[in-house]
Amino acid sequence: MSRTVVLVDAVRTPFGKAGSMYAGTRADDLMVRAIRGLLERNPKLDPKSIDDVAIAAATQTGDQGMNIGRSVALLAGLPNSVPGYSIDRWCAGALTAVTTVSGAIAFGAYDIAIAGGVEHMGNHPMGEGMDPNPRYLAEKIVDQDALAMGATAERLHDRFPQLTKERADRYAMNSQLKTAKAYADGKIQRDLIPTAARSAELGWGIATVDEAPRPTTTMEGLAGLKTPFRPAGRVTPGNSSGLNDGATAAILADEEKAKELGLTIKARLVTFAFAGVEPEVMGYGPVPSTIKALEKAGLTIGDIGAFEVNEAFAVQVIAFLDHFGIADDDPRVNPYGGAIAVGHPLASSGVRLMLNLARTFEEHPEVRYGITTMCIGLGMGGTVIWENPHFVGGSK
Amino acid sequence: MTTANIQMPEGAPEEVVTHALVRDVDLGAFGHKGTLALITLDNGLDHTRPNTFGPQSLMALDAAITEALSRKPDAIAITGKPFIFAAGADLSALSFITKREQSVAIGKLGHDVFRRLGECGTPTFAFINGLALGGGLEVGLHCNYRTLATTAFTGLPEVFLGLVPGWGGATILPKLIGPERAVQVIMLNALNNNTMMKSKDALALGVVDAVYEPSDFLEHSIAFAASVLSGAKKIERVDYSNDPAWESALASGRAAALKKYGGAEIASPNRALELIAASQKSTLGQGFDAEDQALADLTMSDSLRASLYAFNLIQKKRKKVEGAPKAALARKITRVGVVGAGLMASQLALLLLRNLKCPVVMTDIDQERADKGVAWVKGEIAKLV
Ligand SMILES: CC(C)(COP(=O)(O)OP(=O)(O)OC[C@H]1O[C@@H](n2cnc3c(N)ncnc32)[C@H](O)[C@@H]1OP(=O)(O)O)[C@@H](O)C(=O)NCCC(=O)NCCS
Repeated sequence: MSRTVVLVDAVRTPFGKAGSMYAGTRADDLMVRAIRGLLERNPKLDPKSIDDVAIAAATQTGDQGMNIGRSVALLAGLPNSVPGYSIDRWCAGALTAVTTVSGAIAFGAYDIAIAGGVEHMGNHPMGEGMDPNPRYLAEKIVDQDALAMGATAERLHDRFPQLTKERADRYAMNSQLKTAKAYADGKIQRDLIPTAARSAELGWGIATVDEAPRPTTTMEGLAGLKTPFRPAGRVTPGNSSGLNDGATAAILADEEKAKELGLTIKARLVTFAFAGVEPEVMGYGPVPSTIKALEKAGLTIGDIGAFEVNEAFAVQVIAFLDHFGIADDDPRVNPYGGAIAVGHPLASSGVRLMLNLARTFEEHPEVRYGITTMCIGLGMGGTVIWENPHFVGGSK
Repeated sequence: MTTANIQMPEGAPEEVVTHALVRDVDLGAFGHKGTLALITLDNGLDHTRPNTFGPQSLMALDAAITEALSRKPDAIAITGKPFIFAAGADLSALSFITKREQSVAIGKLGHDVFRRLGECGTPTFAFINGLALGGGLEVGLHCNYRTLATTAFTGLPEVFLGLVPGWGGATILPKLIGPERAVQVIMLNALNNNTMMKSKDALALGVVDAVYEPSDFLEHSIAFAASVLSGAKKIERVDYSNDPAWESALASGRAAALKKYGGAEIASPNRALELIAASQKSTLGQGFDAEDQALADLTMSDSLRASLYAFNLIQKKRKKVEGAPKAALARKITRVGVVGAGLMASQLALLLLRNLKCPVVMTDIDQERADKGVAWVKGEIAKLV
């Protein structure tokens, strides 16, 4: 890599339940709010110097259409000279926006870019307007299950019988409890941008916290939930991420440029990788993408001191942990909880993982490397390896 | 809690009610421990039918203030619907008023409701997110603090219409920003073809305390409120009662009115000047009572009825011409011919060209005249780039 890419800062809007607190708010307005909140936190960054704005959305129509990257740049009041484009890799949209602009920065084409993502799953239900090619099923390119994410999670349970429902539920409960603790300690609020949300019936309000967390979750409560993806299955609303609305945004920069401008450096990009798996077990994707990224970086899983794994489904996280011999309740993994608690507005989640990791880096200068990873529909995983700029001494 | 039983005057169109919705905002995320009760004014229609205040709307706001206070918030704020704060009194009923008491009652009801925002003992804020005219701006003036969106226009057009800012404006504004600036807003702007203030003017004149961009106006306004409540931000008010400019300010207002009306004594500017003058010494309550009387006198006058009729013609009917065929029936114009190329024909050709954006052909009795006309139009276009 010719130049070093750094994460300068990252923020997000509070996440809502689909069609609830943001029912009267447009997706592009959520994205604009995240970008403006981000720039307000970084007054040393002159908006004119932003080389590009890459914004992800899994459904790119209506308020997530019109080339949302350029559209939100204009709506956010960035100078006309700042361009923008749209990215789609379903759940890994924002993660891919980050890796894509990072590639351009490393190559030397850009110095500074904004990457982010938005999904208003209330306005754009999963699969909206989807028109799968009939060849998929006729030619058995994928099984029917591959097109329903919950069904792929059931298939992971089938594939790895040691990943029991009980383990998935326990993981899910812990995610809720970790998020509750992080909220109580004021750790999540730090990176939330308060967001005005209007309701025609209730008037204007302000979202300052995530709407989805259920801090009182118990194993008994989880055990009794229905299994919407298969009769007598294992995947429930309690051990899945939900349907959510939200937006995230990050500033990426060339390290030298960031230093020159006096910008913060929250994480240093080591490398990244994407990899495919059978679409029927898409949740397994983070395993090969992480192996690939570690190889490229010349690291082993033992070098990684902090993990931010997206929690589309609990089973998919424990499949990942199992593969690498990490305990389900390892404190290095998702210390602030994850998507099972705060929600997963598809294309926005990648940057949420990064802002959490950046906070872990701050608090743990003894940790040198961390990863952000997530599974992606149609059978993929994406992994980004980061180095802690606050790292002091130690061997790892 | 205000009580009133106000019947709309006979023949008046049904009131489009502006609802007032109350919601709690946690100020914790804005650096202040506490809550703010946020009142949203919203008539449920889009921005082409702004929020206005008739009797039912005033009662709705009154109920919202009662509801807000019952929640014991650290502050109360009031804001509007997208693009609109409030456009003032519901004028459509005004010309149907036949009894003086009706008019006094409407004026008094507005005061009784609005003044609660200034007298309730809880800090109040107006977050003026969009257009705020007349009574719409006056609601904000009763609040202790005001923020304004950079794109929002504000003004007190009453004197332009033959009225006075009679829901507190004529009394509060001079006390808030001093006689010179109040005369500017109430008299000079109104008489100057109803000039509205841009946000930077409103800020410079002291009508509002802060301006923020519209994209995150509410978030910044709430942050402003939190910093005022926590003491981090101090808004200083000046006592203008001994300001040396009272006389000269009133004289300039009077001169502007005489100039505008060719020396004639017109009731509405005179009454407005009287109210402004009285505000130097009077209490708010005395001022509000005087406003009620002035408003009632003016409402009953023939000149106001004529003025409202004219206002209706130029403001409403200009946009929606009665009896005009539907735009969809119009044929598409792809080319226009203008017979003649003299000055008026050339101006016409220019107008057609700029509005219809299609080729325009000019003819005249000889080539030379035609060329001259075309050259003039080209010259005018060239000036634009
Ligand atoms: C699983 C899913 C279908 C559930 O949707 P839903 O039914 O709208 O979810 P709800 O939030 O209404 O939860 C359903 C029930 O479970 C209960 N529940 C959910 N989480 C719970 C918890 N932690 N503890 C106790 N009860 C819980 C709810 O209270 C609700 O109960 P009710 O039916 O009595 O009201 C939906 O969230 C989903 O599709 N998630 C996956 C998203 C996805 O695929 N993302 C992409 C990944 S690649």
